[in-house]
Amino acid sequence: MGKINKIKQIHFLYAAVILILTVCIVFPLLCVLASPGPKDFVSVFSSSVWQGAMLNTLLECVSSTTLSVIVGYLFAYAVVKADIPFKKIFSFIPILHLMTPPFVGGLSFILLFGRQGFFTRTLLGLDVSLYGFRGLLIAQVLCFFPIAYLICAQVLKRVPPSLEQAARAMGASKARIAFTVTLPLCINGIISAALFIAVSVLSDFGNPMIVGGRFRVLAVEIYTQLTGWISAGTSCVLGIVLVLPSVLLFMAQHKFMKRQNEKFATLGSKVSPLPEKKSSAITRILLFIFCLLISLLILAQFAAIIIGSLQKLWGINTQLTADHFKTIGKFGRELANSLIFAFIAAIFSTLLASLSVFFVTRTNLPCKKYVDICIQIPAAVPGSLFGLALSLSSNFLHVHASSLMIVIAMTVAFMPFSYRIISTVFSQIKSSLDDASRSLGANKIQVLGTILLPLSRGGIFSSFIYDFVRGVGTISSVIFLISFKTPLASIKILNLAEQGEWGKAAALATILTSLTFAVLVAGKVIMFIRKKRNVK
Amino acid sequence: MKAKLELKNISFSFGNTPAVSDFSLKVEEGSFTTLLGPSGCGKTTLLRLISGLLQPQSGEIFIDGVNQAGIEINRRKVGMVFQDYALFPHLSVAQNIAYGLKIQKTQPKEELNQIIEEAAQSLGIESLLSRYPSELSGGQQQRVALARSLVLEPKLLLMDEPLSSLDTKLRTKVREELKEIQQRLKITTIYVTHDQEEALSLSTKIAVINQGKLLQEGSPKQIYFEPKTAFVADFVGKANFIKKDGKNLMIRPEWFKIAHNSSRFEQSLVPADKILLGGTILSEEFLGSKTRFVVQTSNTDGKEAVTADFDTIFCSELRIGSRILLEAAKFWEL
Repeated sequence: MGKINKIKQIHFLYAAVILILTVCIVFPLLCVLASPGPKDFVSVFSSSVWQGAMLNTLLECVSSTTLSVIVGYLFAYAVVKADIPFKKIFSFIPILHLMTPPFVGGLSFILLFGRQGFFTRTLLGLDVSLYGFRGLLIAQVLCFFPIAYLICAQVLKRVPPSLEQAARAMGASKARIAFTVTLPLCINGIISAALFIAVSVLSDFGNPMIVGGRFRVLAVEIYTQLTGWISAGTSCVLGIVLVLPSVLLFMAQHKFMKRQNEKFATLGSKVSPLPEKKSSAITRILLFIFCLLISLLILAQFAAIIIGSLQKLWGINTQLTADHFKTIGKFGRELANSLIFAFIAAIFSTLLASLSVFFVTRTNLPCKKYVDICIQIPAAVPGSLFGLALSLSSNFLHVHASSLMIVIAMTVAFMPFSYRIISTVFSQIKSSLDDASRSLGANKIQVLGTILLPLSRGGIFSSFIYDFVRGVGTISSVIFLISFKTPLASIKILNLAEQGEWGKAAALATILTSLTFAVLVAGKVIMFIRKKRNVK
Repeated sequence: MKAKLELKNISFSFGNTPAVSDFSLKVEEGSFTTLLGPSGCGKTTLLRLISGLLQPQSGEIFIDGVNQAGIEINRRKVGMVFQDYALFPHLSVAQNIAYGLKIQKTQPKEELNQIIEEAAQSLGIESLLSRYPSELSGGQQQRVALARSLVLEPKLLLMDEPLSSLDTKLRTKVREELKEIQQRLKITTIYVTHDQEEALSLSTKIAVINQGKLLQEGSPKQIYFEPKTAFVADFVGKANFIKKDGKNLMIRPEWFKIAHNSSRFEQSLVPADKILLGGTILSEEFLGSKTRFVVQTSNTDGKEAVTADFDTIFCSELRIGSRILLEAAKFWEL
């Protein structure tokens, strides 16, 4: 009797996971595919406006991706290989930026490079508008180079110094080695970083929304077309046009990442502890200046937000004031919603990702491939399209619970990242521990509960924190779903910025960012204490 | 004696690669049975089939006369000790030992502590209860792994190369401890190894396996002295194969003695029931208490190199190139 119950338990759980993934991911996307008619396709592809938007998206994607990868690679090379001074501090900057809610970038861009911008107006005295393609390029490169940095740094660290030393022994100069040995060894990793960023650029919503101006890109147009229900059909077609290249890029990215890993598997990933020769003084100085400028630019973003929240009117009336913060009280509801929804979503997302990893890697139940693919789809689907998909499906099902939809959107949007983090952790747990636990009488669910989950606490925790931080900051996936009853802080910041209420926007952004960082730090501290206790 | 475990014609393949084919074996209560074979011979698969981690594609497995088909590992009441011990790194020694009891939730808490204490005492690890696996030596880890399985009073104890992650010196010591524990607790044990010395010293019964098939089963002495095939003979120890009068004979290196320090003898004078081999020493290998010689012999059936082991202290006069006459004190006809 007990045996039958236990078997049912795991099958029931698996069925629940499949059902949730199907309802929350597959079904909404099918709604998008099914809603436009042939007429919508014809009208979109024959309209010069949309042709222009498609070209713009292509231009945006290619240029921002290329520049982000170059900046990220140079930054990584400087920190990992060139041994520049203060590299510890420099290596921390992109990570700090990655953990920052995305609206900080867009908002600080207005304050630094806008009509009243600190750099453009105050420092240089220019009266220019960077809104449009140029501005978008700057904003996106600052936003996405940290991802390129992280991937490139990881790849560079694994290049065995022995290979570079062998090249040097044959008489190659350090610069020559950098281009003929190091770069070719990393090329698959770099391509994988590029493809990953390309997907992120295609789905980027906040930057083009705030600084894109008249430069129309698809990710934003999906939204604009739907506000006021101008044309749901057009919106869906634009979404489909955007999602196809994203999915292809995403698949290619997986392939290149695998190739990079395989290459190092054959090379032997053990890094020999040989001392590295430093790059030439000029290279190091140039790289140092480069890293310094990029880092200052990133820090300037934070400074702009904080100072902006304390000035009466940015660039015009620089008198300090606490007025903006006093008005924050009005946005208590927005802040609370953002934090609560993101918190709940982070729990669901981590839970679903953990269960899926468990089912896919530790059981031999049927339909594993389906789960594996389903859970990774959101990584390739632009957030605004997903928001559209969810609102279409909720209309279809006549479910009008805005908060539920927001939680689903946040849960699903960042689940692929949790899935990756947790599968890495699970793959490091030897399967003999599963077998041992089973031989001691545990069923598979008990193995998960007593062995796998406790052993991957660290990964689960980082996944939770990551989901939470991203959830608090997200704009694109929730912008369709908010209602008067469920306002969100990130959207409010966007609205305030659009209305020119920069002080208030900056104050709200400061508060939200601080709260996010507080959670992040608290998490790190808890992890640290637990680790210490375990070591004891 | 009744069979504790019986394997009846079981087969298992990974895809198209057969791992175990038509395998039958009986294991008696309280015995120590070793599955011995080269790596990749299917012995670990066999152990996983017995444990229930794998289900045979055909054939039947009986434990205490009960067919185990469809019974998963967690219901089979078999204890397992793994090559890497698989202690749970996030649990203390006491928690590791308590793990199975807690899963089954049969004992009240006070009783649980008492059982753990007793198990720890029986294996001499009572001072380690509050430590974590990472703080234990290899030998200690193994005893914890044993204790963890034994508290559940399993019907069978399955061990998968449990000594292979220890260094040579420790291995002998732990091997002796293992034997002592098994004999004291009289638990039916199935042990998997590729190390013939381990198999010979620990087992009451050895099953030699190759390519998924049972080649021979028997006591260690039977396997060593009376192997059925050349493969078994060669796998459980060094063996010389000699043809005499159309018969295949197996002679172990230490079965030779020195008959004469020269080779001037008449082959025709050798009695029919004796085996004498004359030849030249090709090489010598000092092994400590014994010294191993390779001797190039020539008898009526042609030239052949044989290996002979002698006690080092009794063969100091032998040199490479010197002539020698070997007499087999014992031989076995294959």
